[in-house]
Amino acid sequence: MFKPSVRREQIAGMNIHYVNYSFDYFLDTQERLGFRSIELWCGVPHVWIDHLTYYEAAGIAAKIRAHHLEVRVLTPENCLYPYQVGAKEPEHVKRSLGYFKNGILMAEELGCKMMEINSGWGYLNEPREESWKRSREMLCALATFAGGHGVTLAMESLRPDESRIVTTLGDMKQMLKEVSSPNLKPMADLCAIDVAGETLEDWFGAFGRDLRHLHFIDGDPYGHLVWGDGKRNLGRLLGVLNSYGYEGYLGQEITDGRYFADPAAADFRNMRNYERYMD
Amino acid sequence: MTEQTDTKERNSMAHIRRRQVSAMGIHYLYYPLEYMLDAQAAAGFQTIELVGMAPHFLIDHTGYQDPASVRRMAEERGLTIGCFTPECAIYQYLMCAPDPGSHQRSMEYFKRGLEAASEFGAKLLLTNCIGGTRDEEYGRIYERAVRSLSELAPVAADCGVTIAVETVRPEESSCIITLPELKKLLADVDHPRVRAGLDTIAMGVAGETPEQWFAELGEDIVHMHFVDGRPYGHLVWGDGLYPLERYLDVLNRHGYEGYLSQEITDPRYFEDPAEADKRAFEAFLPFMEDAPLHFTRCGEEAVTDVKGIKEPAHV
Repeated sequence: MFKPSVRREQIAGMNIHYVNYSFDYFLDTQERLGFRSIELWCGVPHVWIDHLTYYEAAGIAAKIRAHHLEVRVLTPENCLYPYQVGAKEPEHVKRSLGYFKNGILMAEELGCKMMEINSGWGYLNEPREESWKRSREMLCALATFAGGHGVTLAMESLRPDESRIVTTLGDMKQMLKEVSSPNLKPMADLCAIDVAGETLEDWFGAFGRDLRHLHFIDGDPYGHLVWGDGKRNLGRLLGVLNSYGYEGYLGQEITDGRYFADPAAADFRNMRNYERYMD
Repeated sequence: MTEQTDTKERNSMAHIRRRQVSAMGIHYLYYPLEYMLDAQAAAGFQTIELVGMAPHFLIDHTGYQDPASVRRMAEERGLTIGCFTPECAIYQYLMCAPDPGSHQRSMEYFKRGLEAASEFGAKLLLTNCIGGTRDEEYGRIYERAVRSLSELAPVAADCGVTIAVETVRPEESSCIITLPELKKLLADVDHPRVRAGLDTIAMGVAGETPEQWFAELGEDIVHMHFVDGRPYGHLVWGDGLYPLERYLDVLNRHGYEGYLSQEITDPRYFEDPAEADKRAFEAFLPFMEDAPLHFTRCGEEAVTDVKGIKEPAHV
Protein backbone atom coordinates (compact mmCIF):
# COMPACT_ATOMS: atom_id res chain seq x y z
CA MET A 1 0.00 0.00 0.00
CA PHE A 2 1.17 3.54 -0.83
CA LYS A 3 2.51 5.32 2.22
CA PRO A 4 2.68 9.12 2.12
CA SER A 5 6.03 10.48 3.21
CA VAL A 6 7.93 13.68 3.71
CA ARG A 7 11.60 14.46 4.35
CA ARG A 8 12.59 16.42 7.43
CA GLU A 9 14.45 18.95 5.28
CA GLN A 10 11.24 19.76 3.44
CA ILE A 11 9.49 21.11 6.54
CA ALA A 12 10.38 24.80 6.66
CA GLY A 13 9.62 26.37 10.04
CA MET A 14 8.44 29.96 10.05
CA ASN A 15 8.71 32.73 12.58
CA ILE A 16 5.52 34.79 12.13
CA HIS A 17 3.92 33.37 15.27
CA TYR A 18 7.14 34.15 17.19
CA VAL A 19 6.46 37.87 16.75
CA ASN A 20 6.36 38.29 20.55
CA TYR A 21 9.66 36.44 21.02
CA SER A 22 13.25 37.14 20.09
CA PHE A 23 14.94 35.75 16.99
CA ASP A 24 17.30 33.75 19.22
CA TYR A 25 14.33 32.09 20.92
CA PHE A 26 12.86 31.17 17.53
CA LEU A 27 16.10 29.66 16.22
CA ASP A 28 16.79 27.79 19.42
CA THR A 29 13.28 26.33 19.40
CA GLN A 30 13.48 25.27 15.75
CA GLU A 31 16.74 23.47 16.30
CA ARG A 32 15.52 21.67 19.40
CA LEU A 33 12.29 20.57 17.71
CA GLY A 34 14.18 18.98 14.85
CA PHE A 35 13.69 21.52 12.09
CA ARG A 36 16.49 21.78 9.52
CA SER A 37 14.94 24.28 7.15
CA ILE A 38 13.27 27.60 7.72
CA GLU A 39 11.23 30.00 5.64
CA LEU A 40 12.47 33.25 7.07
CA TRP A 41 9.69 35.77 7.63
CA CYS A 42 11.27 39.20 7.59
CA GLY A 43 9.51 41.27 10.19
CA VAL A 44 10.47 42.83 13.50
CA PRO A 45 11.70 41.95 16.03
CA HIS A 46 13.55 39.29 13.98
CA VAL A 47 14.58 40.84 10.67
CA TRP A 48 14.25 44.43 9.54
CA ILE A 49 13.89 45.22 5.87
CA ASP A 50 12.49 48.54 4.71
CA HIS A 51 12.39 50.59 1.51
CA LEU A 52 15.75 52.19 2.29
CA THR A 53 17.89 49.17 3.11
CA TYR A 54 18.15 45.86 5.00
CA TYR A 55 19.96 45.33 8.25
CA GLU A 56 22.46 42.96 9.84
CA ALA A 57 22.40 40.25 7.17
CA ALA A 58 25.78 38.84 8.21
CA GLY A 59 24.78 38.54 11.86
CA ILE A 60 21.49 36.90 10.94
CA ALA A 61 23.24 34.40 8.64
CA ALA A 62 25.73 33.52 11.38
CA LYS A 63 22.99 32.91 13.94
CA ILE A 64 21.05 30.68 11.55
CA ARG A 65 24.18 28.66 10.75
CA ALA A 66 24.99 28.30 14.43
CA HIS A 67 21.61 26.62 14.90
CA HIS A 68 22.25 24.21 11.99
CA LEU A 69 19.35 25.64 10.01
CA GLU A 70 19.12 26.78 6.40
CA VAL A 71 16.96 29.54 4.96
CA ARG A 72 15.16 27.96 2.01
CA VAL A 73 12.71 30.77 1.30
CA LEU A 74 12.71 34.39 2.38
CA THR A 75 9.34 36.02 2.97
CA PRO A 76 9.31 39.75 3.53
CA GLU A 77 6.24 40.74 5.53
CA ASN A 78 3.95 41.59 2.63
CA CYS A 79 0.48 42.02 4.04
CA LEU A 80 0.89 44.27 7.09
CA TYR A 81 3.82 46.55 6.29
CA PRO A 82 3.31 49.77 4.31
CA TYR A 83 4.30 48.25 0.98
CA GLN A 84 2.45 46.38 -1.75
CA VAL A 85 3.00 45.25 -5.32
CA GLY A 86 -0.26 46.95 -6.36
CA ALA A 87 0.67 50.39 -4.97
CA LYS A 88 -0.71 53.36 -6.86
CA GLU A 89 0.74 56.71 -5.76
CA PRO A 90 4.28 57.33 -7.14
CA GLU A 91 5.88 57.59 -3.69
CA HIS A 92 4.13 54.40 -2.53
CA VAL A 93 5.25 52.60 -5.71
CA LYS A 94 8.82 53.76 -5.19
CA ARG A 95 8.89 52.62 -1.57
CA SER A 96 7.24 49.29 -2.34
CA LEU A 97 9.68 48.56 -5.16
CA GLY A 98 12.59 49.49 -2.89
CA TYR A 99 11.27 47.25 -0.14
CA PHE A 100 10.95 44.13 -2.28
CA LYS A 101 14.31 44.78 -3.94
CA ASN A 102 15.89 44.93 -0.50
CA GLY A 103 14.19 41.61 0.25
CA ILE A 104 15.83 40.10 -2.83
CA LEU A 105 19.22 41.48 -1.75
CA MET A 106 18.74 40.09 1.73
CA ALA A 107 17.84 36.68 0.25
CA GLU A 108 20.97 36.74 -1.89
CA GLU A 109 23.12 37.62 1.07
CA LEU A 110 21.65 34.78 3.14
CA GLY A 111 22.31 32.31 0.31
CA CYS A 112 18.58 31.80 -0.20
CA LYS A 113 17.36 31.17 -3.75
CA MET A 114 13.69 31.97 -3.38
CA MET A 115 11.63 34.92 -2.20
CA GLU A 116 7.91 34.76 -1.57
CA ILE A 117 5.66 37.49 -2.95
CA ASN A 118 2.02 38.24 -3.76
CA SER A 119 0.21 40.44 -6.27
CA GLY A 120 -0.70 43.20 -3.81
CA TRP A 121 -4.27 44.47 -3.67
CA GLY A 122 -4.72 47.99 -5.02
CA TYR A 123 -7.91 49.86 -4.22
CA LEU A 124 -11.52 48.72 -4.08
CA ASN A 125 -12.82 51.94 -5.68
CA GLU A 126 -10.97 51.56 -8.97
CA PRO A 127 -11.38 49.25 -11.96
CA ARG A 128 -9.62 45.95 -11.30
CA GLU A 129 -7.69 46.31 -14.57
CA GLU A 130 -5.83 49.33 -13.20
CA SER A 131 -4.55 47.61 -10.08
CA TRP A 132 -3.81 44.51 -12.17
CA LYS A 133 -1.69 46.58 -14.56
CA ARG A 134 0.30 48.19 -11.76
CA SER A 135 0.83 44.80 -10.13
CA ARG A 136 2.07 43.32 -13.41
CA GLU A 137 4.49 46.22 -13.94
CA MET A 138 6.04 45.87 -10.50
CA LEU A 139 6.22 42.07 -10.79
CA CYS A 140 8.06 42.47 -14.13
CA ALA A 141 10.56 44.88 -12.58
CA LEU A 142 11.08 42.67 -9.54
CA ALA A 143 11.42 39.46 -11.56
CA THR A 144 14.16 41.06 -13.66
CA PHE A 145 15.92 42.34 -10.55
CA ALA A 146 15.59 38.95 -8.83
CA GLY A 147 17.08 37.19 -11.84
CA GLY A 148 20.11 39.44 -11.64
CA HIS A 149 20.68 38.26 -8.08
CA GLY A 150 20.06 34.56 -8.52
CA VAL A 151 16.70 34.64 -6.76
CA THR A 152 13.38 33.21 -7.97
CA LEU A 153 10.15 34.88 -6.89
CA ALA A 154 7.45 32.47 -5.74
CA MET A 155 4.04 34.13 -5.93
CA GLU A 156 1.06 33.00 -3.89
CA SER A 157 -2.58 33.87 -4.50
CA LEU A 158 -4.47 35.87 -1.88
CA ARG A 159 -7.93 35.50 -0.39
CA PRO A 160 -10.70 37.66 -1.90
CA ASP A 161 -10.92 39.60 1.38
CA GLU A 162 -7.26 40.58 0.94
CA SER A 163 -7.09 41.46 -2.74
CA ARG A 164 -8.87 41.55 -6.06
CA ILE A 165 -5.76 41.01 -8.16
CA VAL A 166 -4.42 37.43 -8.00
CA THR A 167 -6.83 35.36 -5.89
CA THR A 168 -7.46 32.28 -8.05
CA LEU A 169 -5.62 29.69 -10.08
CA GLY A 170 -6.92 31.37 -13.24
CA ASP A 171 -5.58 34.77 -12.09
CA MET A 172 -2.22 33.16 -11.34
CA LYS A 173 -1.97 31.61 -14.81
CA GLN A 174 -2.89 34.90 -16.44
CA MET A 175 -0.43 36.98 -14.41
CA LEU A 176 2.42 34.52 -14.99
CA LYS A 177 1.67 34.59 -18.70
CA GLU A 178 1.68 38.39 -18.80
CA VAL A 179 4.86 38.76 -16.75
CA SER A 180 6.44 35.85 -18.62
CA SER A 181 9.68 35.65 -16.65
CA PRO A 182 11.65 32.54 -15.69
CA ASN A 183 12.20 34.25 -12.34
CA LEU A 184 8.53 34.41 -11.36
CA LYS A 185 6.99 31.06 -10.43
CA PRO A 186 3.75 30.03 -8.74
CA MET A 187 3.38 28.73 -5.21
CA ALA A 188 0.25 27.48 -3.47
CA ASP A 189 -1.00 28.60 -0.09
CA LEU A 190 -3.46 25.95 1.11
CA CYS A 191 -5.63 28.55 2.83
CA ALA A 192 -5.97 30.78 -0.23
CA ILE A 193 -6.59 27.93 -2.67
CA ASP A 194 -9.07 26.26 -0.35
CA VAL A 195 -11.00 29.51 0.12
CA ALA A 196 -11.03 29.85 -3.69
CA GLY A 197 -12.57 26.37 -3.92
CA GLU A 198 -9.46 24.90 -5.55
CA THR A 199 -7.37 21.83 -4.74
CA LEU A 200 -3.68 20.99 -4.71
CA GLU A 201 -4.41 18.60 -7.58
CA ASP A 202 -5.77 21.57 -9.58
CA TRP A 203 -2.57 23.52 -8.97
CA PHE A 204 -0.22 20.64 -9.78
CA GLY A 205 -2.35 19.92 -12.83
CA ALA A 206 -1.95 23.49 -14.02
CA PHE A 207 1.71 24.10 -13.16
CA GLY A 208 3.37 20.70 -12.63
CA ARG A 209 7.00 21.11 -11.64
CA ASP A 210 6.73 24.88 -11.98
CA LEU A 211 4.91 24.89 -8.65
CA ARG A 212 7.95 25.80 -6.61
CA HIS A 213 6.75 26.32 -3.08
CA LEU A 214 3.88 25.72 -0.66
CA HIS A 215 2.40 27.27 2.42
CA PHE A 216 1.29 23.91 3.71
CA ILE A 217 -0.85 24.47 6.79
CA ASP A 218 -4.08 23.24 8.31
CA GLY A 219 -7.27 25.33 8.05
CA ASP A 220 -11.05 25.32 8.15
CA PRO A 221 -10.61 26.57 5.33
CA TYR A 222 -9.74 29.95 6.81
CA GLY A 223 -6.92 30.25 9.29
CA HIS A 224 -3.25 29.35 9.03
CA LEU A 225 -3.22 26.60 11.62
CA VAL A 226 -0.99 23.94 13.07
CA TRP A 227 -1.76 20.46 11.70
CA GLY A 228 -4.50 18.99 13.83
CA ASP A 229 -6.30 22.26 14.51
CA GLY A 230 -8.16 22.47 11.21
CA LYS A 231 -10.01 20.09 8.94
CA ARG A 232 -7.45 19.13 6.31
CA ASN A 233 -6.10 15.60 6.05
CA LEU A 234 -2.33 15.71 6.42
CA GLY A 235 -1.68 12.18 5.16
CA ARG A 236 -3.88 12.54 2.10
CA LEU A 237 -2.31 15.89 1.14
CA LEU A 238 1.25 14.58 1.62
CA GLY A 239 0.19 11.73 -0.66
CA VAL A 240 -0.82 14.31 -3.30
CA LEU A 241 2.64 15.89 -3.04
CA ASN A 242 4.23 12.45 -3.43
CA SER A 243 2.11 11.56 -6.43
CA TYR A 244 3.22 14.71 -8.26
CA GLY A 245 6.85 14.19 -7.23
CA TYR A 246 7.00 17.46 -5.29
CA GLU A 247 10.46 17.88 -3.77
CA GLY A 248 10.14 21.52 -2.66
CA TYR A 249 9.52 22.94 0.78
CA LEU A 250 6.45 23.01 3.00
CA GLY A 251 6.43 26.47 4.57
CA GLN A 252 4.78 26.43 8.00
CA GLU A 253 3.06 29.79 7.75
CA ILE A 254 1.28 29.69 11.07
CA THR A 255 -0.34 33.06 11.66
CA ASP A 256 -3.29 32.54 13.96
CA GLY A 257 -3.16 34.71 17.08
CA ARG A 258 -3.91 31.69 19.30
CA TYR A 259 -0.30 30.56 18.84
CA PHE A 260 1.41 33.85 19.68
CA ALA A 261 1.57 33.22 23.43
CA ASP A 262 3.38 29.88 23.10
CA PRO A 263 4.64 29.37 19.54
CA ALA A 264 7.08 26.66 20.64
CA ALA A 265 4.24 24.46 21.88
CA ALA A 266 2.47 24.92 18.54
CA ASP A 267 5.59 24.00 16.59
CA PHE A 268 6.19 20.98 18.81
CA ARG A 269 2.75 19.57 18.01
CA ASN A 270 3.15 20.46 14.36
CA MET A 271 6.50 18.74 13.96
CA ARG A 272 5.30 15.62 15.81
CA ASN A 273 2.46 15.36 13.31
CA TYR A 274 4.89 15.51 10.38
CA GLU A 275 7.24 13.01 12.00
CA ARG A 276 4.58 10.30 11.66
CA TYR A 277 5.22 10.53 7.91
CA MET A 278 9.02 10.53 8.04
CA ASP A 279 11.08 7.43 7.32
CA MET B 1 -35.46 63.31 23.72
CA THR B 2 -37.54 66.40 22.97
CA GLU B 3 -36.37 69.61 21.35
CA GLN B 4 -37.24 71.64 24.44
CA THR B 5 -35.02 69.90 26.96
CA ASP B 6 -34.02 72.57 29.45
CA THR B 7 -30.40 73.40 30.03
CA LYS B 8 -30.18 71.88 33.46
CA GLU B 9 -31.63 68.59 32.33
CA ARG B 10 -29.45 68.56 29.23
CA ASN B 11 -26.32 68.98 31.31
CA SER B 12 -27.27 66.04 33.45
CA MET B 13 -27.83 63.83 30.44
CA ALA B 14 -25.08 62.22 28.44
CA HIS B 15 -23.86 64.86 26.02
CA ILE B 16 -21.09 65.34 23.55
CA ARG B 17 -20.01 68.03 21.11
CA ARG B 18 -19.71 67.26 17.43
CA ARG B 19 -16.05 68.13 17.09
CA GLN B 20 -15.14 65.71 19.87
CA VAL B 21 -16.24 62.71 17.82
CA SER B 22 -13.19 61.97 15.73
CA ALA B 23 -12.87 59.69 12.71
CA MET B 24 -9.97 57.34 12.02
CA GLY B 25 -8.93 55.56 8.85
CA ILE B 26 -7.47 52.15 9.66
CA HIS B 27 -10.47 50.45 8.04
CA TYR B 28 -9.82 52.38 4.80
CA LEU B 29 -6.81 50.16 4.09
CA TYR B 30 -8.24 49.40 0.64
CA TYR B 31 -9.22 52.99 -0.21
CA PRO B 32 -7.18 56.12 -0.99
CA LEU B 33 -6.88 59.16 1.26
CA GLU B 34 -9.25 61.28 -0.80
CA TYR B 35 -12.02 58.69 -0.63
CA MET B 36 -11.55 58.42 3.13
CA LEU B 37 -11.72 62.15 3.75
CA ASP B 38 -14.77 62.54 1.48
CA ALA B 39 -16.57 59.76 3.31
CA GLN B 40 -15.72 61.02 6.78
CA ALA B 41 -16.81 64.56 5.99
CA ALA B 42 -20.04 63.22 4.46
CA ALA B 43 -20.66 61.09 7.56
CA GLY B 44 -20.70 64.31 9.60
CA PHE B 45 -17.28 64.31 11.26
CA GLN B 46 -15.42 67.58 11.80
CA THR B 47 -12.33 66.04 13.40
CA ILE B 48 -10.06 63.21 12.36
CA GLU B 49 -7.23 61.32 14.00
CA LEU B 50 -4.93 60.77 11.05
CA VAL B 51 -3.00 57.50 11.12
CA GLY B 52 0.47 57.47 9.58
CA MET B 53 -0.08 54.34 7.53
CA ALA B 54 -0.04 53.28 3.89
CA PRO B 55 -1.66 54.29 1.66
CA HIS B 56 -2.88 57.45 3.44
CA PHE B 57 0.26 59.02 4.86
CA LEU B 58 3.75 57.57 4.44
CA ILE B 59 6.26 58.22 7.18
CA ASP B 60 9.54 56.57 8.15
CA HIS B 61 12.47 57.28 10.44
CA THR B 62 14.03 59.65 7.92
CA GLY B 63 11.04 61.75 6.93
CA TYR B 64 7.46 61.91 5.73
CA GLN B 65 5.24 62.90 2.84
CA ASP B 66 4.32 66.55 2.36
CA PRO B 67 1.98 67.19 5.30
CA ALA B 68 0.73 70.53 3.95
CA SER B 69 -1.14 68.95 1.05
CA VAL B 70 -2.76 66.36 3.31
CA ARG B 71 -3.76 69.05 5.81
CA ARG B 72 -5.20 71.14 2.98
CA MET B 73 -7.20 68.16 1.68
CA ALA B 74 -8.66 67.65 5.14
CA GLU B 75 -9.41 71.32 5.75
CA GLU B 76 -11.06 71.74 2.35
CA ARG B 77 -13.59 69.18 3.59
CA GLY B 78 -14.10 70.91 6.92
CA LEU B 79 -11.97 68.38 8.79
CA THR B 80 -9.46 69.28 11.49
CA ILE B 81 -6.63 66.86 12.24
CA GLY B 82 -6.96 66.64 16.02
CA CYS B 83 -4.45 63.87 16.60
CA PHE B 84 -1.73 62.22 14.54
CA THR B 85 -0.93 58.57 15.19
CA PRO B 86 2.08 57.14 13.39
CA GLU B 87 1.24 53.44 13.01
CA CYS B 88 2.75 51.89 16.15
CA ALA B 89 1.57 48.29 16.47
CA ILE B 90 2.18 46.39 13.23
CA TYR B 91 4.94 48.19 11.32
CA GLN B 92 8.66 47.88 12.03
CA TYR B 93 8.67 50.84 14.39
CA LEU B 94 7.91 49.98 18.01
CA MET B 95 8.41 52.07 21.15
CA CYS B 96 10.09 49.25 23.08
CA ALA B 97 11.97 47.59 20.20
CA PRO B 98 14.57 45.33 21.86
CA ASP B 99 17.75 45.67 19.81
CA PRO B 100 19.63 48.98 19.74
CA GLY B 101 19.35 49.52 15.97
CA SER B 102 15.61 48.91 15.87
CA HIS B 103 15.09 51.03 18.93
CA GLN B 104 17.06 53.94 17.58
CA ARG B 105 15.18 53.89 14.27
CA SER B 106 11.91 53.71 16.18
CA MET B 107 12.86 56.73 18.28
CA GLU B 108 13.66 58.68 15.11
CA TYR B 109 10.34 57.56 13.64
CA PHE B 110 8.34 58.87 16.60
CA LYS B 111 10.28 62.15 16.47
CA ARG B 112 9.31 62.47 12.80
CA GLY B 113 5.78 61.72 13.95
CA LEU B 114 5.83 64.56 16.45
CA GLU B 115 7.14 66.92 13.79
CA ALA B 116 4.46 65.80 11.36
CA ALA B 117 1.76 66.23 14.04
CA SER B 118 2.92 69.78 14.54
CA GLU B 119 2.70 70.48 10.80
CA PHE B 120 -0.82 69.05 10.71
CA GLY B 121 -1.78 71.46 13.49
CA ALA B 122 -2.51 68.46 15.73
CA LYS B 123 -1.89 68.92 19.44
CA LEU B 124 -1.79 65.19 20.13
CA LEU B 125 0.18 62.13 19.09
CA LEU B 126 -1.09 58.78 20.26
CA THR B 127 1.21 55.83 20.86
CA ASN B 128 1.82 52.84 23.14
CA CYS B 129 4.66 50.74 24.57
CA ILE B 130 4.65 47.71 22.26
CA GLY B 131 7.90 45.99 21.29
CA GLY B 132 9.35 44.04 24.19
CA THR B 133 9.56 40.28 23.73
CA ARG B 134 8.24 37.57 26.09
CA ASP B 135 11.65 36.07 26.62
CA GLU B 136 12.98 39.33 28.04
CA GLU B 137 12.71 40.47 31.65
CA TYR B 138 9.70 42.68 32.31
CA GLY B 139 11.82 45.21 34.17
CA ARG B 140 14.06 45.79 31.18
CA ILE B 141 11.09 46.41 28.89
CA TYR B 142 9.52 48.75 31.41
CA GLU B 143 12.76 50.69 31.77
CA ARG B 144 12.95 51.01 27.99
CA ALA B 145 9.41 52.40 27.94
CA VAL B 146 10.33 55.05 30.51
CA ARG B 147 13.57 55.89 28.73
CA SER B 148 11.91 56.09 25.28
CA LEU B 149 9.11 58.38 26.38
CA SER B 150 11.55 60.53 28.35
CA GLU B 151 13.59 60.94 25.16
CA LEU B 152 10.51 61.90 23.14
CA ALA B 153 9.01 64.27 25.73
CA PRO B 154 11.25 67.31 25.04
CA VAL B 155 10.78 66.86 21.28
CA ALA B 156 7.03 66.82 21.88
CA ALA B 157 7.35 70.04 23.89
CA ASP B 158 9.31 71.68 21.06
CA CYS B 159 6.60 70.65 18.63
CA GLY B 160 3.75 71.80 20.88
CA VAL B 161 2.38 68.27 20.88
CA THR B 162 1.28 66.09 23.81
CA ILE B 163 1.96 62.35 23.65
CA ALA B 164 -1.03 60.25 24.69
CA VAL B 165 0.08 56.76 25.77
CA GLU B 166 -2.53 54.02 25.43
CA THR B 167 -2.55 50.57 26.96
CA VAL B 168 -2.90 47.62 24.57
CA ARG B 169 -4.14 44.04 24.70
CA PRO B 170 -1.90 41.32 26.19
CA GLU B 171 -1.64 39.74 22.72
CA GLU B 172 0.20 42.86 21.56
CA SER B 173 2.55 43.50 24.46
CA SER B 174 3.58 42.22 27.85
CA CYS B 175 4.20 45.72 29.19
CA ILE B 176 1.85 48.68 29.82
CA ILE B 177 -1.35 46.74 29.24
CA THR B 178 -3.12 47.79 32.44
CA LEU B 179 -4.15 51.01 34.15
CA PRO B 180 -1.82 50.61 37.18
CA GLU B 181 1.17 50.07 34.87
CA LEU B 182 0.32 53.15 32.84
CA LYS B 183 -0.15 55.23 35.97
CA LYS B 184 3.26 54.17 37.24
CA LEU B 185 4.84 54.80 33.85
CA LEU B 186 3.46 58.35 33.65
CA ALA B 187 4.69 59.03 37.19
CA ASP B 188 8.17 57.73 36.30
CA VAL B 189 8.38 59.71 33.06
CA ASP B 190 6.91 62.68 34.92
CA HIS B 191 6.61 65.09 32.01
CA PRO B 192 3.62 67.31 31.20
CA ARG B 193 3.86 66.32 27.53
CA VAL B 194 3.46 62.59 28.26
CA ARG B 195 -0.10 61.76 29.33
CA ALA B 196 -2.71 59.01 29.04
CA GLY B 197 -4.83 57.82 26.15
CA LEU B 198 -7.80 55.63 27.08
CA ASP B 199 -8.45 52.83 24.57
CA THR B 200 -11.76 51.27 25.50
CA ILE B 201 -10.77 47.88 24.04
CA ALA B 202 -7.51 47.51 25.99
CA MET B 203 -9.44 48.79 29.00
CA GLY B 204 -12.20 46.19 28.61
CA VAL B 205 -9.82 43.32 27.93
CA ALA B 206 -7.94 44.25 31.13
CA GLY B 207 -11.25 44.12 33.02
CA GLU B 208 -11.19 47.85 33.72
CA THR B 209 -13.87 50.53 33.46
CA PRO B 210 -13.89 54.21 32.39
CA GLU B 211 -14.79 55.09 36.00
CA GLN B 212 -11.59 53.44 37.25
CA TRP B 213 -9.50 55.21 34.63
CA PHE B 214 -10.87 58.64 35.55
CA ALA B 215 -10.58 57.89 39.26
CA GLU B 216 -6.89 57.01 38.82
CA LEU B 217 -5.79 59.38 36.08
CA GLY B 218 -8.41 62.17 35.96
CA GLU B 219 -7.21 65.05 33.81
CA ASP B 220 -4.19 63.09 32.70
CA ILE B 221 -6.52 61.40 30.21
CA VAL B 222 -6.00 63.63 27.19
CA HIS B 223 -7.28 61.40 24.42
CA MET B 224 -9.47 58.36 23.75
CA HIS B 225 -9.98 55.55 21.32
CA PHE B 226 -13.62 55.31 22.24
CA VAL B 227 -15.12 52.34 20.39
CA ASP B 228 -17.49 49.48 21.06
CA GLY B 229 -16.12 46.04 22.00
CA ARG B 230 -17.07 42.60 23.23
CA PRO B 231 -14.58 43.50 24.81
CA TYR B 232 -12.33 42.40 21.91
CA GLY B 233 -12.76 43.97 18.48
CA HIS B 234 -12.59 47.66 17.63
CA LEU B 235 -16.20 48.00 16.61
CA VAL B 236 -18.75 50.56 15.51
CA TRP B 237 -20.99 51.53 18.42
CA GLY B 238 -23.89 49.12 18.41
CA ASP B 239 -21.86 46.18 17.13
CA GLY B 240 -20.37 45.40 20.53
CA LEU B 241 -21.51 45.07 24.12
CA TYR B 242 -20.47 48.36 25.71
CA PRO B 243 -23.02 50.76 27.24
CA LEU B 244 -22.48 53.94 25.23
CA GLU B 245 -24.68 56.23 27.28
CA ARG B 246 -23.28 55.08 30.64
CA TYR B 247 -19.74 55.56 29.38
CA LEU B 248 -20.58 59.05 28.10
CA ASP B 249 -22.06 59.82 31.53
CA VAL B 250 -18.71 58.96 33.08
CA LEU B 251 -16.90 61.24 30.63
CA ASN B 252 -19.31 64.07 31.38
CA ARG B 253 -19.10 63.60 35.12
CA HIS B 254 -15.33 63.95 34.94
CA GLY B 255 -15.49 66.88 32.55
CA TYR B 256 -13.66 65.12 29.71
CA GLU B 257 -13.41 67.56 26.80
CA GLY B 258 -11.04 65.61 24.53
CA TYR B 259 -11.65 63.55 21.43
CA LEU B 260 -13.51 60.27 21.12
CA SER B 261 -11.73 58.65 18.20
CA GLN B 262 -13.56 55.95 16.29
CA GLU B 263 -10.68 53.50 15.91
CA ILE B 264 -12.56 50.97 13.86
CA THR B 265 -10.23 48.15 12.89
CA ASP B 266 -12.25 44.99 12.47
CA PRO B 267 -11.84 43.50 8.97
CA ARG B 268 -15.63 43.26 8.65
CA TYR B 269 -15.57 47.00 7.91
CA PHE B 270 -12.81 46.98 5.27
CA GLU B 271 -15.08 46.48 2.28
CA ASP B 272 -17.37 49.42 3.04
CA PRO B 273 -15.60 51.66 5.57
CA ALA B 274 -17.79 54.63 4.63
CA GLU B 275 -20.89 52.79 5.82
CA ALA B 276 -19.13 51.96 9.10
CA ASP B 277 -18.17 55.61 9.62
CA LYS B 278 -21.68 56.77 8.88
CA ARG B 279 -23.03 54.47 11.58
CA ALA B 280 -20.21 55.37 13.96
CA PHE B 281 -21.09 59.06 13.73
CA GLU B 282 -24.83 58.46 13.91
CA ALA B 283 -24.42 56.53 17.16
CA PHE B 284 -23.48 59.81 18.86
CA LEU B 285 -26.32 61.91 17.40
CA PRO B 286 -28.77 61.34 20.27
CA PHE B 287 -26.18 62.83 22.62
CA MET B 288 -24.85 65.59 20.39
CA GLU B 289 -25.50 69.13 21.58
CA ASP B 290 -24.67 70.60 18.21
CA ALA B 291 -25.84 67.91 15.81
CA PRO B 292 -25.63 68.99 12.16
CA LEU B 293 -28.91 70.33 10.84
CA HIS B 294 -29.39 67.79 8.09
CA PHE B 295 -29.37 64.99 10.62
CA THR B 296 -32.44 64.31 12.67
CA ARG B 297 -32.81 62.79 16.06
CA CYS B 298 -36.27 61.42 15.57
CA GLY B 299 -36.26 60.00 12.07
CA GLU B 300 -38.61 62.58 10.54
CA GLU B 301 -36.19 63.85 7.93
CA ALA B 302 -34.05 62.03 5.45
CA VAL B 303 -30.32 61.64 5.84
CA THR B 304 -28.17 61.75 2.78
CA ASP B 305 -25.61 59.01 2.85
CA VAL B 306 -22.17 59.24 1.30
CA LYS B 307 -23.27 57.79 -1.98
CA GLY B 308 -25.99 60.43 -2.29
CA ILE B 309 -28.83 57.99 -1.82
CA LYS B 310 -31.71 59.21 0.31
CA GLU B 311 -32.71 56.88 3.04
CA PRO B 312 -34.66 57.24 6.26
CA ALA B 313 -32.73 58.23 9.34
CA HIS B 314 -32.61 55.40 11.80
CA VAL B 315 -31.34 57.30 14.77
